[in-house]
Amino acid sequence: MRNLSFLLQKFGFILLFLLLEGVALFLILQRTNFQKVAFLNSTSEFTGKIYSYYGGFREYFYLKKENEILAEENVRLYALVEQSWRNFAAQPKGTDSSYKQVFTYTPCNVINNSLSKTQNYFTIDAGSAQGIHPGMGIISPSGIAGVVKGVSENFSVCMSVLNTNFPVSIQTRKSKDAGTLAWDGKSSVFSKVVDIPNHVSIQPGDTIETSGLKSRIFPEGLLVGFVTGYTIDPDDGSYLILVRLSTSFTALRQVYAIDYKYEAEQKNLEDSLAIDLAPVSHE
Amino acid sequence: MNNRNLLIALRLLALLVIDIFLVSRLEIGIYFVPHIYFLGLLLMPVRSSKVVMLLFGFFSGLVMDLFLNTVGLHAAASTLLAFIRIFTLRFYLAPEDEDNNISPGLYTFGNRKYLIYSSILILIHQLAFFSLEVFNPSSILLIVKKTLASSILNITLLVFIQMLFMKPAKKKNERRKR
Repeated sequence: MRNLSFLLQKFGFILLFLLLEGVALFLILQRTNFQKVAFLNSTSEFTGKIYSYYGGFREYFYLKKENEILAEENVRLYALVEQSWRNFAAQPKGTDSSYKQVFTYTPCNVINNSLSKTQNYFTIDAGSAQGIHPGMGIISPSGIAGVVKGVSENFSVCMSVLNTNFPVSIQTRKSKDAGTLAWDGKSSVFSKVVDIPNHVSIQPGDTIETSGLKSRIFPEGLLVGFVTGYTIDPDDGSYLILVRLSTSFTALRQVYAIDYKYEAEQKNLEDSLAIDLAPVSHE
Repeated sequence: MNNRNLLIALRLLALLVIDIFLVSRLEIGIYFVPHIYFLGLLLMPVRSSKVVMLLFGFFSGLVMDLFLNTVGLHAAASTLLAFIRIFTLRFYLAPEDEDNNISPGLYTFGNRKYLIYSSILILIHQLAFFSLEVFNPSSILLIVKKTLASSILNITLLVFIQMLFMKPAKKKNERRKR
């Protein structure tokens, strides 16, 4: 017994070290599903409060830039309202299920953001009390920004587009050829697009937008970025496209959370038929 | 003695706050990730108990994780730093250092000794952090680049912080001894 207590005294710290590392590794392995780490949700309320004070203070430094971004957004939105199209009879105004709002938008602010990790997340100041739930898409005035992963009462943690696990299917605006956005963790300005076959014609400057097909996170046609260059993958002959992201992640402040109203219905139907329409799921 | 413990805990806390709200916001690039909170761990007095050392390492990392959404990464890396420190000190500790229970910093350790000591610990911390963060054996080049760039940045940062904010107390006497 004395030997045991002597051993514990001498080498107890190694046991403690292994225990603490075990806890940390356990947390790391859980990081892909935020919702399951219970204590993270309880503390995100606390850290969220602190960050919203901090964000309120920091906001003043970005007022000018924020105004410019919102003004640009207004210009784009004015171009979309009905009055803007009255004189152009050729413009189709939707067909079958139109005039039913499918996507709703909730404005919120980014209060904490990171850029230089391989898995980047940001925090927004709206949570379950404001109708945010996991799986909602987040867009900035200039393009897509992320997807909600964990929700507390008043705050949410969102996976950024700058995350190697970020799931979104995209298409080219010109030819509507579908591909996948896959960030490689190397730059906060550029991302990569894969899975577009090389018979499609791609030019630098082409616009990449969301396809809205496979995942139910974003509606179709939201801006993702612009092609700056490409190579062709020698293995399968598909494009490897370098894309300049349209969202400026260094100045991510005002964002909107998108709720797809028929998500549950669509998911139930697809699940009941057990067909795999959503290989890029957001779970 | 109690006063000193309080001071050490407060110093670590202050470093954590500055790190969370200022230093980690400096987005210098994808490879250079600045952090300063491990200075608080490096400067723990040399005779502080191993258990306290490990707990300080773990919880300072955990606080970073909670605020930076890096679930467990900082906790794992800084616990490892605390653990390795126990062994590193065995090589670098002169008997009089241990008697005085010094905090191994730039001025108490001397430039060369401190640089080697901090480089070993920070390199290990950053290597653990980025390996776990990237967690992909095929991106080993990315891990190595990030580790080297960030380690060099952080080692330099810590030296500057100590030159700016810490007084070279009793430096002359120590020099004469050597």
